[in-house]
Amino acid sequence: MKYGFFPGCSYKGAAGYKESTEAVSRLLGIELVEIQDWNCCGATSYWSTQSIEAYVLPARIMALAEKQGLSEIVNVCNACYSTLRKAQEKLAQDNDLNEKVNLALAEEGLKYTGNLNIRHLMEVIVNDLNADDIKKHIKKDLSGFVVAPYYGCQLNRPWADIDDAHYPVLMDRLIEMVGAKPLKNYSAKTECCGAAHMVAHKDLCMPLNNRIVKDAVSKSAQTICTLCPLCQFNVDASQYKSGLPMVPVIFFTQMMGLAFGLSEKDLKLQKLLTPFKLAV
Amino acid sequence: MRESKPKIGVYVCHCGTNISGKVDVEAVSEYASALPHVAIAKNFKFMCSSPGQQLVIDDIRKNDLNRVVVASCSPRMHEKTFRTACQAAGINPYYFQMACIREHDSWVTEDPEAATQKAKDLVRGSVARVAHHQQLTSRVVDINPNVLVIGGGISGMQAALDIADGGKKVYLVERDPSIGGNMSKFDKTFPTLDCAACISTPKLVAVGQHENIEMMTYSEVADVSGFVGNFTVKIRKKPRYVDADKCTGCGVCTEKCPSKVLSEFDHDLTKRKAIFTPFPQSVPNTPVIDTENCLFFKKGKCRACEKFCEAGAIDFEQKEEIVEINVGSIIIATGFETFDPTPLTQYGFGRYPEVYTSIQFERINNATGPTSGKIVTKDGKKPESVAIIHCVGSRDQNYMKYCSRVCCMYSMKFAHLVREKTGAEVYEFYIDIRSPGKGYEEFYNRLQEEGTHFIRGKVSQITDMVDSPEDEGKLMVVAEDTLARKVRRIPVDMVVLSVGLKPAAGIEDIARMVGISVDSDGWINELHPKLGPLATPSDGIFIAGCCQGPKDIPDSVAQGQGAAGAALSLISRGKLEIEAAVSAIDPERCMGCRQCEEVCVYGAISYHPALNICEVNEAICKGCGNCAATCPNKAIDLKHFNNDELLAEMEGLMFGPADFHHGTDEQAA
Repeated sequence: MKYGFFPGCSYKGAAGYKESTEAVSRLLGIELVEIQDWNCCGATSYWSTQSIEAYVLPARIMALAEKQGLSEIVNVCNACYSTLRKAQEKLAQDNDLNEKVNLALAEEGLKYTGNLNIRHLMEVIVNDLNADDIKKHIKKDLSGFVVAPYYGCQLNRPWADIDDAHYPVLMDRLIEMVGAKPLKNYSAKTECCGAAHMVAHKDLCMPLNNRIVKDAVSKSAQTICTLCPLCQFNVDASQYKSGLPMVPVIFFTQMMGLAFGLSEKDLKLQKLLTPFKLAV
Repeated sequence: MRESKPKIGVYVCHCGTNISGKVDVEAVSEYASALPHVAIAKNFKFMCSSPGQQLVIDDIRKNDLNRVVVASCSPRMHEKTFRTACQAAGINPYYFQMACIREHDSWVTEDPEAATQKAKDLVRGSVARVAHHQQLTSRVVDINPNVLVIGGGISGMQAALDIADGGKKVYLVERDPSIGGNMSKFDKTFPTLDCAACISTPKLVAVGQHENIEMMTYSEVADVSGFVGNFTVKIRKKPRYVDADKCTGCGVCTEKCPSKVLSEFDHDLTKRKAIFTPFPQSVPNTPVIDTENCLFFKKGKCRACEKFCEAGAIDFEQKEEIVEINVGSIIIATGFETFDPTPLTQYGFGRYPEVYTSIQFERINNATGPTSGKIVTKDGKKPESVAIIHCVGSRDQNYMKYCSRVCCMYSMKFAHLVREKTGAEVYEFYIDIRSPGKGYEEFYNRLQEEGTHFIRGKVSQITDMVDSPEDEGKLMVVAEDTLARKVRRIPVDMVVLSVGLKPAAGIEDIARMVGISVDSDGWINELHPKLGPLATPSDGIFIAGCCQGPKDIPDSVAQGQGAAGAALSLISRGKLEIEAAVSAIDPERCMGCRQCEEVCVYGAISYHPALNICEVNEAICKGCGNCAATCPNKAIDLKHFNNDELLAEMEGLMFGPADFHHGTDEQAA
C-alpha cells in the first residue's frame, strides 16, 4: 500500500520514531512516499496567529503532494495532522483566503486544490490493514505488557470523526491486536501535554504532564504509548526530577516493533529519557 | 351549478390599523365596486366584530346578494366566522370567499402603494373565484362516546380519570406492565417537596378501580383507522403468562424466581426477577414474565413460579392477542424518556461508578429504590460532596438543542435532598438557572440560602485524575467558572448528570398511525402553539403531557385535564358535521389505477375491487387535493377547489381589469 508521507519537523529527531516507523512499515508493506521539499506546517503556534502565512505553510505541503500526484497525506504527528486538516477545512470554506493562498503558492508554480485526504499513520494501520495482516508478524508475546494508550488532544478534536473526541479507542484496538494489554480506564487518554507551551510556560505544563503519568502509573501501566513526537517528548521529559514514579513513554510504532520481534536497539528505545526495559 | 347570476358583496376590513396602516382600504373598496358582478363594496373597521358581521347579513338580505368576499385576515382566522354569517343570512356558506390582505399583504409589504395594489389584486382574484362557487352541504355523523388514552403516566391517568368521572368509557393503554409512568419513580416533587408516591399512588389506584376505565397494560396500539368520532383501534395485548383473574398478587412467584436481570424501573441500579412487577405499588399488581430472561422460555426448564403459585395463575400457554375497540376520540400521552449520557464520554457515565443520571438519582432517593432512600455511594459511604451537572444533553448543539425545562428545578430539589439527608457540600454546575413557575424562583432563593454552591459554567470533564493525595478516590469535576473567570477542579464523591428529556421511543409510530407529525426533535406537533396546544391537525386526536415537549408535573396534569375536557366536549356533541370541501371521485371516469390511494396521506381513499374504482371516505378526507392533482384521468374533483374555481381565481389575480372583464364575462356567462 502506497501513501504520501509528511514526516514533519520532529519526526527525525524523536526517540526512535523514524527508525521504528520505517521498520514497521516495511514489515507491513506500507510504502510511505515522502513529499519532496516539504516545510514546517507551522504547528499550533503559527496557526494561532491566523495570518496568511499560517495558511500558506500547510497549503504548500498539500500543494506539493498534489504536484507529486499523491491523493493522501499520512502524518505521524498530531499537530501536523490537525494543522493540515484545519487548513484544508478553512480553505474550503473561504474562497477569498483560498485565492490569496494560491497567489502566494503561484510564485513557485504550485497550486492548492484541497483534493487530498489527510490521515494519521496509526489510524491508517488500524483502518486500512486487516487485523490478520498485522497479527501474522507477531513474534513476541506481550500479553503481560500493560500499555497506557495516550492519544493527546489533537488527533480527534474538533472533528471526532475517526474516533471519540474524549475517549478514543483506536489505539486500544491496535495494542490488543499486537497482543499487549491496553490499560482500561486510562482517564488521561486525551489530556493535553502542553505542546510547545512547555518551553514558555513550564510551570503550567508540568502539572498537565504529571496527570498523564500519574494516571498511568497508579493504574499499573508499564508504558505509555504515544503517537506524536511532541507528546512523547513532553511526557517523557517531564518525569525527569519530578519525584513521581516514572514510566517509559514509547511510540506506537515501537510497541508494534517489539511485538514483531525487533530489538530494543533497532527501535532506538535506548534514546528514551525514562529508561525502557521490557519486563514481560 | 349556479341558480342565478352572481351578485357579489365585497367587504374590506381595516383590522384596526393592522391593514389600514398600509393598505388604502377606501381605494380598495372603491376599486372592488367596479369589478364584474359586484353589487356592493364597503370597508369597515373590524369585519369580524358583531357589527361587521351584521353588515354582511343585512346587505345580503336587503340587496339579495348571493356571493360574499371579505378581504381581511387569513381564512384560518375567520373563514368560519363569515361562512356562518352567510348562512345566517340565508345563503349557502360556501358562497363565501376570503381575500387575505393582512398576513399576505399589509404585514409583509413595506411600501403602502405596493400593498394597496396587492390588496386590489387579491380582491380581484377572490371576486373572480366566488362567482364560480357552488353550493355545498356538509354531512352529519354520529360520534362514538368512548375515548382511548395512550400512555398511563400522570398526564394520561389524569385525562382518563376526568373522562371517566364525566361518565364516559375510557380505554387506557399502557405498554409497561404497570401504569404510573415516570412520576412513579420519583421520591419528592419540586418546589413543594411533597412526596411523589403519596400523590401519585392514589391516582394509580383510582384508575385501577374506576368502573368507566378499562385498563390495558402491557399492551400497545397496533393500528388506528377511521376518523373523528369513529376510530377503530387495534391493540396488541402482550402475553403476561400470568392469568390476571386468578393472580392474587401475593408475590411468591417473584420471590422464587431464580433469574435476575437489571431493573428497568431502577435504571440498572438493582436487579429484578424474570417474573416481576415493576414496583411494589404497581397497578395492576399482576406480574409479567420476561421471556428473554425466563429460564423456562430460554432453556425449557425451571417453572418454579408455576410450582409455587397457589392460585395456579401461571399460564405458559398465553398468546399475544389483538383486541379491537371503537372510540370517538384519542388522547396521546406517551410522555418522555431520559437522555442517555453515554455518548458524552467526557462525563464518564458507565466508566465511573459514582456518576449517576438524574433518573437514577431519583431512584436512590426513593424509599423503594436501591438504597431505600439513603444517599450513599456504591461502597455504602455517605458522600461528603456531590456535584450536580445541569444541561446534560439539553441545550447542546450536538444532542438536543432545546432546554428540557425541568432539569434546573429537579437539580435543585436534589441539592436540597442531599443537604438534608447527608449534609454534604453540593455544587450545582449550571449554564443559566431557569425557574419560571409558581414558587420556583423562591425555591432557588431558598437553595442559595441553604448553602448550595452554584457555579456558572459548563462542565468540560469528569475524571478520576486527582492532583492532591487527599482527593484520592474522588472524582474531579472540571469547569470554567464563568463568574469567577477561572477553571475550577472540584473533588466530589458523587456526580449527578441532570439529563434532558426526549420523546418516548415509538412516538413516531403512534404519530404515523393517527396521521400527525412530529417536529425536528421528535415531539408531537400541536395544532397551534398558542391557541391549539392540546389539539392536533387530525380531528379527534388530542395530546397531553410530555409527548408534545418537556413539561413538569403541574403542566402535565393540566394538559391531561385539558385534553380530557376537549375530548369530552367533542363526544358530548353526539353528532359531528363534516367539512364539505372534500374530494369526490367520478365513478364513470375512474380507471381504478389507485394512484390517488397512494398519495392520500390521510388514508381517505379505498379501492373497490369489484367495481375497479376508488372511493373517498368524506369523513376522513381533509380536502388537501393531492388526489385531484394526481388523477391521470381527471376523475377526481376537489369540492370548493375545483378547476373552474381555481382557474377563475388565477385569471383574476393575473389579469388587470381590462383583460379581466373579457376573461370572466365569457366564463361566467
